[in-house]
Amino acid sequence: MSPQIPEGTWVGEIEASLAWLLSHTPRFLGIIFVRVDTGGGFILIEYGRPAGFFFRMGDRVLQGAAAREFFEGQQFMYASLCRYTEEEFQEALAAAGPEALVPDAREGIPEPGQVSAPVTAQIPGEERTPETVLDRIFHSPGVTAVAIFRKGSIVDSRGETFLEDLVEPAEGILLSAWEILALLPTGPLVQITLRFFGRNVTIAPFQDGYLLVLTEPEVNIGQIRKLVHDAGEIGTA
Amino acid sequence: MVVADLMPFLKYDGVLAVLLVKDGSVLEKAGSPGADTEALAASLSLLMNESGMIADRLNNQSIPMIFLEFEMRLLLIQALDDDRFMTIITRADANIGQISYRLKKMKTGSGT
Repeated sequence: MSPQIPEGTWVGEIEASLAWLLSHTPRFLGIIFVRVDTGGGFILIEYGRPAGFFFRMGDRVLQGAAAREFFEGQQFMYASLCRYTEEEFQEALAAAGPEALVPDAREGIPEPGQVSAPVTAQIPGEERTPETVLDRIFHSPGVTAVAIFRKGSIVDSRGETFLEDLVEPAEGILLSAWEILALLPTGPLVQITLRFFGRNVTIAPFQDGYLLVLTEPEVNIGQIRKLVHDAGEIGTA
Repeated sequence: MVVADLMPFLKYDGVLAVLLVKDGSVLEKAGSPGADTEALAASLSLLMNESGMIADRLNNQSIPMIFLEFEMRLLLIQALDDDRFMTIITRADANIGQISYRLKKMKTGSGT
């Protein structure tokens, strides 16, 4: 069940990244209700300090640092800002519960001038376009297929055509990884490799999405790691 | 399998903890996971369920070994029998080849 959060007073809507939202709310006390393709949630803001994060996707719930990590991975979110009184804010903190709250999450928040505009995607380096990265990985020994996926869909792929079927469980695995990331002092996600008999499946952050790589069993984990690192920049999840 | 079966993994350099998990609960643990192990077990179990979905969609019924790599930690997860699975939490610089070899041997029952 989602927390019963006060609605507050609606002040506006915008499509923006988390970084942009956090850098432009220094005088805001309230809640940002966010929506992405896969679900929705909220961010509690106390005059520029993000105080709590919550996200629900179906039966899965991310809270606190894990939800923040998830929001940071979104290129942009549909955000609805609602102002709170001090009393409403305290009520919202209590309703959100301790698992949603983050102690002091100002670290790493850019100044307003550092984030140019909402709805602005990161522009990849020309030498590392998704196309060149996919080609480079696909032509490596032992690779049978590779795709870039984002928000539940394949953006581009090479090789076998059934990769679309793997996106949904791959995103479920990533949700679990974010939960683990919030529990352990792990640092950012580098990659996840599933070794089945006869097939390896690797998922790795790439720009604003993820790489999904299928390799033959004789390719070992060190080779996969090198392959993904050499082929393109690895983002942080 | 009991705690004594998990202890040998702690001898490897960089291994911080070993958990034996079933149905979202920790059956046995050794070492210092540095986290709420019950919450960790719940997340790991969901991850195993999702990996089972991937196996289904690949028409592959084999039991997976999963490498979850973060910048500072590595989690090796080996499915065992009866829906149990073992998770080894290591530093990022641990010798994963050595550890995964031992895990594989344990799964096939040829050595512990």
